Amino acid sequence: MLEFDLSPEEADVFLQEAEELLLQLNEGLVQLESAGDAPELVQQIFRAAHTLKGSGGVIGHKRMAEVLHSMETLMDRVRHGQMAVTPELIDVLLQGADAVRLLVGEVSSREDCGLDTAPLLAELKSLVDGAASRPEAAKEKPPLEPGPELAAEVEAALAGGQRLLEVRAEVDASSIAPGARILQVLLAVQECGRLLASEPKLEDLNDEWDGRAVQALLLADEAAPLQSLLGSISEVTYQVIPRQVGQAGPQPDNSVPTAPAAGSDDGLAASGGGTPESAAQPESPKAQAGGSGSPRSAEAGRGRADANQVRWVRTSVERLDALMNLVSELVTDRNRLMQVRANLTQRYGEENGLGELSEALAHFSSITDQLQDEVMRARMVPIENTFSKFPRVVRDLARQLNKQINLVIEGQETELDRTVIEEIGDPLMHLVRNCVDHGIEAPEERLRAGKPERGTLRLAARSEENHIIILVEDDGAGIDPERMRETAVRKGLLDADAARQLSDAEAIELIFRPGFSTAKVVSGVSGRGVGMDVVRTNIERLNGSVSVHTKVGEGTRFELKLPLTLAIFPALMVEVFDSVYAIPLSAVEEAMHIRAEDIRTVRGRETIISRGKVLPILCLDEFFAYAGAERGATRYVVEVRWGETTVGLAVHRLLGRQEVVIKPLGRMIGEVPGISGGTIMGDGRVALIMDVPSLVKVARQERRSA
Amino acid sequence: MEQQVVVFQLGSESYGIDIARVQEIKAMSPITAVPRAADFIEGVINLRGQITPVVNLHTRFGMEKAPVTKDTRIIVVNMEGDWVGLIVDSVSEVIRIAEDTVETPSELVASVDADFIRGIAKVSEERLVILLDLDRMLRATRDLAVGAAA
Repeated sequence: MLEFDLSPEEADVFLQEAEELLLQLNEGLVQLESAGDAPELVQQIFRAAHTLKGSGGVIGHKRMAEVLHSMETLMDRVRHGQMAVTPELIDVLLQGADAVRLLVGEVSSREDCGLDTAPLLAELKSLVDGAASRPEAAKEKPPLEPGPELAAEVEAALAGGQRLLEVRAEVDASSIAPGARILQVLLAVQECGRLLASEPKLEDLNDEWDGRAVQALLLADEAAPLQSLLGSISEVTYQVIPRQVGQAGPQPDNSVPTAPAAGSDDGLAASGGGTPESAAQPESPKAQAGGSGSPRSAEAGRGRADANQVRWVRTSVERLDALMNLVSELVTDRNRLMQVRANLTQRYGEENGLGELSEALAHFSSITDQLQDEVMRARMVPIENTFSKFPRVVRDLARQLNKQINLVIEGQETELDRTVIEEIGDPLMHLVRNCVDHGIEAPEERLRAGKPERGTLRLAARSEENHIIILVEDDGAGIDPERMRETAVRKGLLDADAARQLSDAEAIELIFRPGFSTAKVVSGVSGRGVGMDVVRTNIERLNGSVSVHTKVGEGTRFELKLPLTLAIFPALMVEVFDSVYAIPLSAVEEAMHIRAEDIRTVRGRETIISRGKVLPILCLDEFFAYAGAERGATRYVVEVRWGETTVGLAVHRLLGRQEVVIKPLGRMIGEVPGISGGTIMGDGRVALIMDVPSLVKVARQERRSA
Repeated sequence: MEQQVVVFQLGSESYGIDIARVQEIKAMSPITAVPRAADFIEGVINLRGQITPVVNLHTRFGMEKAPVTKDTRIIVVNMEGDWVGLIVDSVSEVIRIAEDTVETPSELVASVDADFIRGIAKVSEERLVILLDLDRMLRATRDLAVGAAA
């Protein structure tokens, strides 16, 4: 049992903050690796590590603070240009982030995670030491000193209340005229005070100047006017550092807060916590938030100002769930009232005050719909949280497999019900891994195929009516149907004849068969053949679907279609004998009236011709084994789709569309094929909800075996 | 030690279950059959917004299925937080049973598996009430049902 210095409520806050910062750390590191040299990213990573270290220190989590301290020191070297960003460096820092995640976990579990941090600390330290001895260390410029001839003037000015300031500025790498920007900086310095020295010197500057850094020493009454002037220069990141005469290095001083240059997130480098030594004393998160000039408060005051305009209320997931349950009850009652009204109308006609009842009911109904919408919206969270772990995953996997992959993420702001979000993480992870592992080829192979060396993996989300579509798409080798057939035969999933009869689309669908994996070598990444079938099962359980589109040599696209919410959905109500069933409308393609003679028997299976295609029929009266079920008694066929397969469900009557609230049948019943749950109808009776995926599967199997 | 039990009839036998486990006793109401579930699952009912499975105890214990009469009842009991309905021929009374009148069951006494019997209470010279071990019986029923659904 580990003890930390915080209450359970504080632990929640701590864990939430830690999670956020770890995410920033991970994201920042992965981005930094591809960006190579990006001061604002370096700064962001440094800041995240620093803040985390602070919170770790406050609660007395020494091991966590230690790891972060070393990471921070390393980032500090990078920040000062003493170290280059290399994949090795990122690897070590990511390992550090992983270690921190484990250590943060100790705060909630209160149990030692068993991690030995010594090897990691040693590795971090060796990198730090290595950096210190490198020649790049010279990149850290020594502070400027006023020439001896100016000593008297400086002394007099300081005695007169003026301050000695050093400006260090850097022009963005993207600038096309760094020389001009540097000139602007120096002119600004001249305008605000007495320029004592600068590097480069004013007279050396010309249009061809291609240096990007500038240092200047000046005497001024105060720093503020200079800062605002510097702030108005675009493409420039700067610091204003108070100096003492003869002092060896810049002295951080919070009394001179720096401000960022336009369009830059940096500019704070020299304010609080700039050196590893000063940062070693953990500050409490509270003190940081309230302190002046600390990176955190500066950011909070600036970047978050807009977000704070919206007023938020934090509420628990349980409360939202309870609200959703109540709304579900309301929807059930609404359906029930509609039924009562219909019964009354049938008995007494629209007269006798029933019109008024109808009116009130219509209003009640529309309010219920709106309430349902609002509550659903309140439960929605952006898919960003799920997507954000993928840059790291793809990066690690690609490195492990020696592949080059560009991950493109789109639509991360798309919102989904949180229950759906919770469930799609694993299936998505598997699809992404699969694309990296099997989809995208090795660089040599890509070059041979005339494709760019670097493969592209696209992860995109968008909403479409009542659904969310998520795409996982690669520009890799694609799936070869011929190879799928061979593999299926080799693995004994199909005999050679059956395999030959499969259309290309059906052959590709084999990927979702249990026990199927086309990897030539089991790679330890995704080649164990458990997976794609699990992906489909999991998505289907959510009332969603997954389909695959592929072209040999061009790539593969997995398309996930998910409902916005799991609790309430529109359904087509049908009758089989006297029993009412609900078919999720998301699966319904078409409903049609048939005559007995429309049903034909093809290879022992009952089928009908629908839109020129042969549609296998599953007679639900037989499937559900109703006594007295007779061929030809069915009058309607509901065409349902699952994946690429369509099947007709033969029923006795169509009752129309209704919003249904899905409820479990209870543990006593077990898993019943073809039934996914129940719903309470307007008359208070229970209707069963059809499980379309399992019915389609049954129909498919029966067709195969026939 | 005294306990209160709800006494119900199943065929010619009287059974008792702990009153604390009984949620409510309902008259027969329309039951939605669940196709392809185990044979002793009569179906599901709507109990105040919650879908509740209903077990036919006749079928469950391998007795001949009894016709539904005006006396037929659904006893709703609590099982690990879930409700389960049990169809019985009739519910006669609630009685107090003193622990010292309860005897260990002999193998032959009832139609019900001896494993599910907690004891036999001798209410009077003429009358025996078989006390059901509800938890054991329901768990076994659930395992059977989950296995049988196909």
